Amino acid sequence: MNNPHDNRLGEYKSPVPDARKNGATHIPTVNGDSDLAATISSLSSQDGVAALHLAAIVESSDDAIISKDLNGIVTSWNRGAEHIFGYTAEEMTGQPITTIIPPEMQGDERLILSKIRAGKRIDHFQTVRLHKNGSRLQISLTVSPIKDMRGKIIGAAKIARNITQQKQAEQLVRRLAAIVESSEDAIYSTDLNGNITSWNRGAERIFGYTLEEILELPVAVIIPPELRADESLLLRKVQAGDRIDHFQTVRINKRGDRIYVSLTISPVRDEHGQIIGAAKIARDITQQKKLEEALYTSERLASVGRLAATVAHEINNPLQAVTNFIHLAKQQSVSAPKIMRYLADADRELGRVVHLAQQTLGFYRDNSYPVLMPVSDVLEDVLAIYERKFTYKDLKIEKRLEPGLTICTAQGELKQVISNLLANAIDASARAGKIIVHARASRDFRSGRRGIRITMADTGSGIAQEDRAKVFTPFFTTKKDVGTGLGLWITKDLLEKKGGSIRFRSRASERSGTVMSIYLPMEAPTHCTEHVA
Amino acid sequence: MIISSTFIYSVSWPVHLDEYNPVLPPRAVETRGNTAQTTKNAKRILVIDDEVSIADSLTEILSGYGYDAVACYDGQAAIDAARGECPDVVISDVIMPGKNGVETALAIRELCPKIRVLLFSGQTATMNLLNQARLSGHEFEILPKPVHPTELLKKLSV
Repeated sequence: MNNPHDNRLGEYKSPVPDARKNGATHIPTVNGDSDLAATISSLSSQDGVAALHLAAIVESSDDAIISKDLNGIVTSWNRGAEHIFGYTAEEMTGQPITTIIPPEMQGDERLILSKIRAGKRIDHFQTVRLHKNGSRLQISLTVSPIKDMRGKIIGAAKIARNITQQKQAEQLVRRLAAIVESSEDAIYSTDLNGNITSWNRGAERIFGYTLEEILELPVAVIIPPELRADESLLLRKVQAGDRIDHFQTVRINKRGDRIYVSLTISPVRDEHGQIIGAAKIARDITQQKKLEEALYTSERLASVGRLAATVAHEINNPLQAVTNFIHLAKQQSVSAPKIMRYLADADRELGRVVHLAQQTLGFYRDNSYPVLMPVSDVLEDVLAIYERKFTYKDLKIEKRLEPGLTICTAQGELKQVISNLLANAIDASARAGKIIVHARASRDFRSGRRGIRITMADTGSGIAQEDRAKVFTPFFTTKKDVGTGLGLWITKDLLEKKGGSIRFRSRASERSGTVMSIYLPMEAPTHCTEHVA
Repeated sequence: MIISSTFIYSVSWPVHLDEYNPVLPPRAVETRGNTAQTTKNAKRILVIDDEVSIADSLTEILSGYGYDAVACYDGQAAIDAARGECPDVVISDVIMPGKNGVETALAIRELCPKIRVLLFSGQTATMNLLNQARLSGHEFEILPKPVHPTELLKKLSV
């Protein structure tokens, strides 16, 4: 009996034929033993077939199936056990099972054996065992007594399942769940019908609904009616496997307040990769939006302030001349024809003030409603305000305006946009530079919507490579003393609110310069009133 | 009849520097036959403004009060004029094409250290320029634009 295989098989010779009669557990091993066939063939043919089946099942099991005697000595060890614990059947058979039990758990084994002796079974006992290499394995253990033909308990059969990965996965899931629960953001999911399937505490806080209240309800309850069509569009994108990142939109909380959210949506897949729903993260950006609006207002005020400073200078000059001419006309020694000349000069200077006031009013007048007007008028009005700045820097301005080009838009905003771009172009320009303004009819390349494109090209210093990504971010400025860093941000925002866009090209090295290009769609003509000059 | 007030030049604008001969007496404005007399003892004032109507009308007013006033339409012309004969006072606009008022005044001070400088300013932006000048040790008197001629005359009489 030096051959452990013989030993094992020998042990199972007698219990197996009787097994079904006694209802006890019988576990033969079939580690490729040639003796096995002989052993089984010695059984009655019916029992032999059953034993072969059992042997095959045991051997092919991924779980460790081990038997031991009542002293805890291993009597059989299948391939699953070899795989899980790293010991071969040769190494373990005849060895105490405590080999694979961690030192601090050796007591468990006595407990298990005493239960087995009492004929009890242990089901799915989760514990820790040692691998041959010393690493610890999380296992789930089921132990049943083995009885001999007379029903006497002679050992124990153990089925050990390695649940280390499952445990790790569970831990990961718990950790993720904790993250989701503790997140300030609303994290929730919907099925493909748009019904809510999960809802974290952040969602409860932001939207005011508890999990119990909202579970299985359509997600539409938190979507404003006018945006519900968008939601099905988003859902379709997710169904196609797309992810949606930082989509800014509006949601409604339980109280009916509108909240601004930045939404990230990703598809949820089942284990087969099939998309079964959408996971959403909604960040409450209401405060941020309010701050942006405040900034927006302050930049508008600042731009009015800058404009006022420019205008003040433009108005002060003619006023100085008028004051002088009137003073001259009041001199007693002056002849009547001379007085007429002084007054005519004063009149001409006042004309400049009037002209300027009219142009500037375009910025102040209630101009939030769209007006149909020639694009050249808008451009000329803005250019006139900056005319002296051109002179100071000896800049050449080249206008390429498509004749007859009209736009239906709120002119104040368009003037603000052009004014921002022009002021930047002037500031970037060196003495004797050139600025080219180009206006033409255009269509949006995506929507095909009719509109205008205005480009403003300068031969200035250009935008440094590292600054290009930042020019539309609020507070980013390269003009530390005079810039607020809000001009281009506002410009982009104003344009995008109207369905327009802005892009630019810039070169900061030799032959430097920047070309800003804006597209602005036409309002529907029905919204338009005729421009009254 | 001495120096500026009776010289009648046609005004060409913009002024090209190469047209200007610094040896000649400085360019003067047509004073529309102002009969006020200036004497050799009258204060010589350079009035610098790129706005021709302002420079001209102010020069005319000052001439009427007996000053020897000369209109210049840019900083370089004023510097050239000062090189010909030092003025007593420079009255200058600040924001101008080419040399600004502060640069012009500083350049003239190099030539004529004793001059008094009055700057008109209608803009907050000029405060930066003035601060820069102050940092390099130059104080200028500032006049708001528009300044009433009587105010200006009062200042000059001090």
